Order: sequence, then structure tokens, then C-alpha cells
Amino acid sequence: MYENVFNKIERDLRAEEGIANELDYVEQTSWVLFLKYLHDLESERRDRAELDGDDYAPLIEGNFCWDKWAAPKVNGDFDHNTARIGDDLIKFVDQELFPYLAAFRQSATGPKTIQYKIGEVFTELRNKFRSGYILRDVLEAVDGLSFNTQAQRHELSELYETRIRRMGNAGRNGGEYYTPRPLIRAMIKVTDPKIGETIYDGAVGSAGFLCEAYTHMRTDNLSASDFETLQTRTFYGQEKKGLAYIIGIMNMVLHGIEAPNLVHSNTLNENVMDIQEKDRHDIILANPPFGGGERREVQQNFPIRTGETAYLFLQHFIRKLRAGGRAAVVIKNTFLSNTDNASVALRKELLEAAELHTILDCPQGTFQGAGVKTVVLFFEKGAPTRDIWFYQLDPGRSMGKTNPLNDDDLAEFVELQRTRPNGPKSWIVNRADLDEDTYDLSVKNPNAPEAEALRNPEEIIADMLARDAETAKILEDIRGTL
Amino acid sequence: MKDVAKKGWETRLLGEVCKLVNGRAYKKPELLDDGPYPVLRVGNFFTNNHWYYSDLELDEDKYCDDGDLLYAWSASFGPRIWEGGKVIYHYHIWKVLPSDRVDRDFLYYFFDWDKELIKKEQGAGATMIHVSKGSMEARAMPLPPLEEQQRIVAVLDEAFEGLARARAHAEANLSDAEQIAARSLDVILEDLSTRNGRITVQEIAAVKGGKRLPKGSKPGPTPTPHPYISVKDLTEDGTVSTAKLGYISAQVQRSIARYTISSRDVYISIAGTIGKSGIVPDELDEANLTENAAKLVLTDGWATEYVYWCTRSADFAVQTSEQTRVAAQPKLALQRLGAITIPKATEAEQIAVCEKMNALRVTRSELVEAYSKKLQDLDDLRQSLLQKAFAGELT
Repeated sequence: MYENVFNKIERDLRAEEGIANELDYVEQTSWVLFLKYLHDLESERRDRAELDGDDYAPLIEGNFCWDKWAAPKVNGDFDHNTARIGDDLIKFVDQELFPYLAAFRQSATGPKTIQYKIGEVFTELRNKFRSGYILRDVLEAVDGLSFNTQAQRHELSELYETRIRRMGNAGRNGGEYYTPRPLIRAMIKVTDPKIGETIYDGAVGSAGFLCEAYTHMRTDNLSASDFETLQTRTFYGQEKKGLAYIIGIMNMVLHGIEAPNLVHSNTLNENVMDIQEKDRHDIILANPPFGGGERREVQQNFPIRTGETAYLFLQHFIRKLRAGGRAAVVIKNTFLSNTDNASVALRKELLEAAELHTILDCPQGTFQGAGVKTVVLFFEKGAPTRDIWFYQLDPGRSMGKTNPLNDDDLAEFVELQRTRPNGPKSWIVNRADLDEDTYDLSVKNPNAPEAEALRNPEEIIADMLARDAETAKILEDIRGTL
Repeated sequence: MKDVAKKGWETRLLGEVCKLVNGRAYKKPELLDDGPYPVLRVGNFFTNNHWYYSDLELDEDKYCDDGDLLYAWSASFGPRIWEGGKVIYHYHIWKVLPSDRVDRDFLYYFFDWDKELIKKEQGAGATMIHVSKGSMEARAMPLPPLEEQQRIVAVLDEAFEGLARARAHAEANLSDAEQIAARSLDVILEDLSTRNGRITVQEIAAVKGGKRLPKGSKPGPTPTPHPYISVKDLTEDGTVSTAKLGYISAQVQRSIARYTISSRDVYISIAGTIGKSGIVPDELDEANLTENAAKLVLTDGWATEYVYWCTRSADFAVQTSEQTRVAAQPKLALQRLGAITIPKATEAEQIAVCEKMNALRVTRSELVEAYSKKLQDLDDLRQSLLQKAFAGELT
């Protein structure tokens, strides 16, 4: 139903000179959608307050209300007399609307309030529309979208996800924010979060892990208090980059989490030694950025110092996990085999601080646009590692843009993970069998079917001669029929 | 048609002996990932295994079923007897409905033969062969009485079955011919290894890397006295091709002057494509080597060619892949390359290995040529049998 609207917005944006690529599409669509979402949220709250006989103080007031500037109406029809358009509209948005909303950050009572999030979003973002006419068209299209029912939100969230995925496919930069959803779902099925537990992603990106976890946990028979817990005290995330932060918030909002607990900050600035019990979480799901190269002062926050952001994140996650907590973290496969001091020390730390029970080896091309091969580490905090179950994911085809990973590809892994059996694609490595110097965890499948024994040169020659003899007879027969 | 005077034979236009029914042209949104009917496209006809589905209910003649004669008429084209169950056939495919004067299989063989004629008419090397329905219906077909058609079909069926087997044999022999030398090498080296034991690469050679060009400079096609060997120049048969070789200026060469390779060294690629090994020809002695390949500078007592043959063995390949680390790009570190082992051998044994392998190399190319030719001959024989059949000479 909303597909056409989204397509129209995209067509409009393509004509806009200030907007260059898929990232910009998503960014600029996001802030407009976000304001419309707030407007609908407010109307709903106002109606509810009225029914209860309460007063309602709106978040956004006066001329900055959606129905004052974006879609002014008289008797339900668009009011052409008061609507700003062209340069007036751009001037209003740039010089009045954005500063007004950005100021919410100062006036908000605390960082968990929706006011504060609004303030953050609009401090971080710039309006890139240069033509007030195009913006007017986009506003009109977005005004047609409605966030009032679950079904509407679900559809919007799916459309938004498609845009994020496309952004991920658009190139390296976009790919930072996109983890393939089937992989996320498999990771969630294995860690299996329950109501009452908290879920944390320190490199939240487009919030794919949190949104999918929400979908996984939100069942129809939740009690009101369970639902409240799910909404307000379950999902936590941090993100360093502004754009990803906005997209993450928007994505969670569209998935139905009204006030996401996302914080805009560099997770790695936190000294891991300062993490206390109250900061810990039950479930960690994450795909931290690879490479990166954090600055030296940031590395000071970690016992194992390295420029590799993924390694810093892994240390952070190990300490951020509550005793008995479960984690699933995507990491570059070289983590398993690299012999530099940091890699070895980190492997040792992981094996000792947590029970690393499963390693999922993902095929090349799982992440589009990135050449790296990845694995997923599944671990539980508490006891040290005893044995590790490896599973080599082999969908039997090469991954590509038109043929990405799907849920069926991962079904066998999720099923087998419960019992961790030996099989053609899976095997167990005992902690005791690891090399004590390197803790090398490289993926080496001992159960891979052996190649057929090679023939001797004599056998090859005999085969060839036999074939030649038969061929000669066939040719004689054909000659006979002529 | 020349020999229509033959008893009972006549020449008819194809349009008279059969009817061609166009497949349905699907719009993209109509092609679904799931549905009651598979849609047969030209791609599926030949190689492609990916299917689309349709939920449209169409006229009966838009479906085909087991035993129907189909004809793909665009790009890849030719006849086929369908055996894949009930499907909707897409545009670019005709369903052929034979009239009662023609046998289905006879028609099939005619199309098969005629296909080659169309190719010839449209010119050798034409990239896109395309036949219109009109031009197809206007093609002439020699038509014997029904009984005679069936007899010809029986003869062709038998002969072609044999030919298909002969062709499969020749293909198998072609691939075996490639393997004889490779397997002989493995056997010879295994034998040496059991007798003499093994030695690591770093014990018999200095393992050294090549060098990346300084930032901003690129090898150019214009020859200078300083060739720069990249992995793309390394050939399958263990030498270096000069066809696309790049050259660098004297100035650039000075900055990487230490990283040259001698024709007494063995090279081996260590990044991306791993394990391509060989010897640099004399004319490229002292050329610069890419950072994606390493050179083995051999110590006295080790023959370049012997070490080269060792790097070509299956055993060496297994060790290489064990030592390779895959991140964004597979890489074989110099140190790990040095840890790979080869069989020890005396100088006399080394010479003997090289002589044997060189002889086998010659035999191999002779055999490959012979079997490639045989394949061509079998194809020609098939076409000539069809030619005879439709000239009425198959008696």
C-alpha cells in the first residue's frame, strides 16, 4: 500500500541536487518520516489524554507542528494559502525548524526522554534539500503515510528495511550499517532472548539486531507488563556515527519500539575496567566494525591494546556480559588464526573468560561489497571454554547481490546447534587440544569428504585404451549401418 | 533439394508439415518465485537451472508437456524434445505441432540438421542468430513417406547413441591425457620421498618477495629495458608470457632494483591466485617481480627445474593450501612458504626427474591434440550422417 509512496519519494529525491546517493536518500527520508511519526504519536497521545480527561502538553508546539508547516489543512484539504513553498520553505526548515528541534537536547529532562532523542537527531542531521518545491512534494507524499496501526507500521518498517539494505549494497560506506537479516535471525534463535533479559549492541548501526530481536520476542500472548518491559527495559544500543544513529532510531521506531534506548557515543571511549554490574547485559548481539583503527588514547581503555576496532569491541563485549549471559558476535575470520600478540592474547582471554561453545563459519560473500570472510562467535560468560563446536556454512552456491543468504541456508545450523553433533559440516575441537602458544582456532573441517583416491598413471592409461577400443567398435558399427 | 526424384520423396515447406506456436511473452512482474506452473525460458532450455513460476491460467496450447517438440529460436537455438513435465513455455520458444504426414522424431532430426545450415547462412561468427517464424515456415524440407521417415529415425537413433558414447569417451580421454603427466609426477616424487626423505623449501633456497611499484607509478605497455612481471603474466605451463607484460622506467626501477628475479630462480604466486609457479625465461632474466609473487633463490646442488617440478606436484599444492590464510584475499606468507617440504634428491636423481617430466610434457600435448581432433571428427560425423539422411542416401 505504501510502496508507491516510497517510490514517489525516491523519484522526487533523485531530482534534488543536494542529494547524491543511497545514503542521502535514506538520511533525508528519515528525518521527514521521523517528524511525521512524531506527529501521529502526538495525535494519538492527545486523543488518549482527552478520553481520560487529562491535559496534554505537546512535544512540538506552535508553528513547528507538522500540521502547521508541513501539511497545513483547512477542512481536511491542503491549505495552499498558508503552506510555504520554494525558498521560503527551505529557509524555514534550515533556519527555524532544525534549530528549534536541536534545542530539545538542552531542554530535555534526561537523555532517556523522547525530547532528547529528537534533539540529538536534529543536531546530527543537516537538511540536504535545496529545492523547496521538491521538499514540498516529499512532504505531501509522507503526509499520506500513517503510523497509527500495527499493520501500517509493519509495512513501513519493511519498506524502510529495504532502503537500508539497498544502502548497504550501494557500496563500502553503506555496508557498514547492514548485517544480512537471515544471519541476524539465526544468531537470535541460538541465543534465544527471553522477556526480562536485556539485549545490547555496542555498534548498533541500523539497529538490525535489536529490531529483529524485538520481532522474535514480541508474541501475541504477552501480558501488559511484559510488553512494557519489552518496550522500555530490553533493548540497549550505542552508535558512534551520526547517520547510523538516526537510521537506527528510525528503524526501531518503525518496528514498534517507541522510545529506543540508543545512545549516540563511541562505545570504545568507555574504559572496560570501569564497567560495573549495573552496566551489564544478559544478551549481546553485534557485528562490530572491522579495521577501523582506533586512536591511541582510545586503546588506553583496554587491557589488550590494538588498533583493530573489532578486537576492542570484543573485549568490551566480554566485560559487558552478565555472568551466565549469552553473546553472538560477528568477527573477521582472521581473528581465529592471526599470530600477532593482540590476537593470541584476545583468543586466550575469550577462551578463559567465557565458554565459547559455537563458531559459525560464514561463506565468502555473506556481507555484500566487503571482501572479508567472517565467523560468528557464540559464547556464554561464566565457565571457561571446554569444547568448541564448529559449523561450516555452505549453501552450495556463491553468494551475490541477486542471490544473498536466506533463512533456509541457516536452518540446518540453528537446528544442529542445539545438539552440536559431528557431521560433514560440523565438528568439535577440545580446549585441551589447542596449541597453548597460539590458541589457533582456524576452521579446519576434519570431516570434509575426502577426495577420491587418485589413479595411477598406469590405471589412467588402461582406462584410456579401453575407451579407445570401445570407440573404435562403435565407429565400426556405424559404418555397418551405412 | 537435389534428390527429390527418389521414390515417394517430395519437398515441402515447413509451414506445410507442421505448425509453430509462439510461447507467451511474460512481463517481469508476472514471473513469480513460486506458483503452480514453471515457466520454461530459453536459458532453462540449455544451461540455466533457475526457474520462474506463473499462476496464470492460459490457453491449452501455451503449455507443453512430456514428449512435445520445442524449438528455441533466439540466440541459443535449436530443437528439443521436452521431458520435464507440464510447463508454460516462454516467448523465444515455439511449440512444434507436427501434421499427420510427418513423424515427430524425423522432424526433430531435420531441425537438428537444418540448425547448422541456418548458422552457415547467417554467417560464421554471427553473434546473435535469429530466425523469424515466417522464414522458418518458408524453409524447404525433404519429406519421404511416413514409413521411410520412421526407418531413418531408427537408424539415426542407433548411430547417435553410439556417437554420444564415443564423444563422452573422447572427452574423458582428453581430460585423462591432461592427468597422466600430473599423476606421473606425483608418483615419481612420492617414490623419491620414501627413499630419501624430505627437506623444507627454506633449507634449499632463500625465499624472497617481490616488490610493489612505488605509489603513483604503473607499468606501461611501451618496452623499456626494465620489464615488471605481474601475476597475470605467469602462465599455466610454468613460464612468463610477454604478451601483456608491463615495463617501468629506469628511475622507478632504481627504487626497487633489489627485487628482481633471475632465470635460475623459481617463482611462485603468493597472493590472490596462490601457487602458480614457474621459471622466468632467459630474456626476462633480472626483470622486476610483483609483490604478489615470491622467488626461491636456490642454493648449490639444487636444479631450478627439479624444484619447479616439485612445486607442480599435488602434494605441494596441498601444503600450499594448508599454509594459506584467507582474509579479504588469500595470502601465503613467505615464512609459511619456506616451511613447505619437497623430496630430497641427488643431482643425478634431479636430472632424471626433469628428463622424464619433459618427455611426458611433450606426450601430453600430443595426446591432447589428438583427442581434441577426435572430438571434432565425431561432431563432423554426426552432421554428415544427418546430411546423408536428408539427402535420402541412408539405405
